[in-house]
Amino acid sequence: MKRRSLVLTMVLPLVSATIASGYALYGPKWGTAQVPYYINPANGDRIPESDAIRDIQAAAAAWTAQSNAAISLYYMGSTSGSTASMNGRNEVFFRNASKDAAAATTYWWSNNNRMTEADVVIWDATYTFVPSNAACSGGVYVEDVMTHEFGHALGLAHSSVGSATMYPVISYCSAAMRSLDADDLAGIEKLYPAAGANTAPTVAINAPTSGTTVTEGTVLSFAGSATDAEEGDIGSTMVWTSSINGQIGSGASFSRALSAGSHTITATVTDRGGLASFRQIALTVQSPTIPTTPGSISLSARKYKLKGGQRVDLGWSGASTTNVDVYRDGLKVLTTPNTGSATDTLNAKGAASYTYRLCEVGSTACSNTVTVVF
Amino acid sequence: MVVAATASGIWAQQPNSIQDRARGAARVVVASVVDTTSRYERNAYGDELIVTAARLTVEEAIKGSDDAIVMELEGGTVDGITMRVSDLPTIAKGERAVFFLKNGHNGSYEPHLRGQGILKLDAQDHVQGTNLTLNDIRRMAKEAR
Repeated sequence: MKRRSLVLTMVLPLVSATIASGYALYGPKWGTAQVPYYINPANGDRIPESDAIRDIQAAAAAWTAQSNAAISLYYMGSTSGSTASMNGRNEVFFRNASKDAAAATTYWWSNNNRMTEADVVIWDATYTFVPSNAACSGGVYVEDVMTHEFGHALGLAHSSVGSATMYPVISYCSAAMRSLDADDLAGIEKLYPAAGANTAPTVAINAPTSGTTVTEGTVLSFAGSATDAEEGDIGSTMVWTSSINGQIGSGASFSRALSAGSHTITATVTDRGGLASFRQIALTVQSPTIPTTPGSISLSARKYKLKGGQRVDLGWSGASTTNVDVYRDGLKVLTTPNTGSATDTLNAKGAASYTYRLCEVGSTACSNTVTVVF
Repeated sequence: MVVAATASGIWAQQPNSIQDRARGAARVVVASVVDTTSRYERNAYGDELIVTAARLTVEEAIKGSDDAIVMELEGGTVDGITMRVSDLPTIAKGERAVFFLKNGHNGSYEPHLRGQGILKLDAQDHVQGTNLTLNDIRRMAKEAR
């Protein structure tokens, strides 16, 4: 039995007016059976980082272990991420700030009714968060708050049922929300119905190893495997994508070079029953060192948007080589004929700034730097 | 945008009473959404969020003036990408609500206490999903003065 007597008593004037209807769904849901997430365990409440990770993992596991829903949250590792944005990672982090007395907030993005990303901010300045293995006095258990927030990250809205994990109020020192209520189970199993006899496939990335760093131009060998209980080896159906280059390959193995930058590589496999699984690794591709010798090349830049996507027209003079290299924020993004003009098609949206420099290929002569701000 | 139930965050204390909301708000109005415009915006924390500006036409001022209002809140849709926030409802053209507002940036307003500052009304002047009426809110807001 969950204890909420304190809160129920205190909110009686308003909550008693609520017409009970149970769980609510936002609408969008994830299109895969596994949702990866990262944790930034740094916090201002002196919770040992290992304890924070353990409790947040336990909160995520609740939605799989306690329900029959065809969805699971998959811990990918720690992150230094501390902002809510569409950066290709679902991240949980503490923030030493307050937001109108909320304990935590989930931000999520969707496209065509499919959830594409979710980030959770735990408002660390508002309350004292407590690990599950510590005595609690006037604090809030991070595991219980995060069980609630992971419900949002999976597509559940607030419930009007006072005993539900998705009820929007938690009592101080309550350990009730880590246990899903029948109302929560009904909601998550409605959103992700059990797939009957079909089970989700499994997928693995065997090479490269996560964390690999190579120099731009290096051809990388990718290898993985995928099996399905009903269909056996389905490695040939694997689809590989990069957070920078888009789809980069298919099947159990292939080789190719990637653009400079920090890549999240995702290998996805979908069985005939429509259940999908994926694994991710991180790769870094470094540009060769940028030449630093000042030259007589003059560079200018003009920003604009086309259908909302950011673009930058570059113009230059004074370069004498056949081709020139264009550097954006220190990374070489383009080698182009020395025609005096080129367009950097970013297609990014939102506020951003980019710093450009242009260098002759094969020499150390470079231009001035130019910064554009969207 | 779809109509959502009144949303708030997960709170480790009781939701504020109507009197408290009215007391803390710069303006309390019954208003309808005339139109909405969404955009990407980077906030002070570095979050890159979709923010929606909603123009409100005021039907009744319970606290403060009855001037037209631009209310900004996180969430919205830009180029097919939708962003939602767990402690804020969505806002759509034509919706009618009691808004508890605090001062925002550049003359705009923000919901006071996030989702607690927007109580959407149904055709019978009930707060959606509750039996709380507009008259109840008027009475309680006046008690706060």
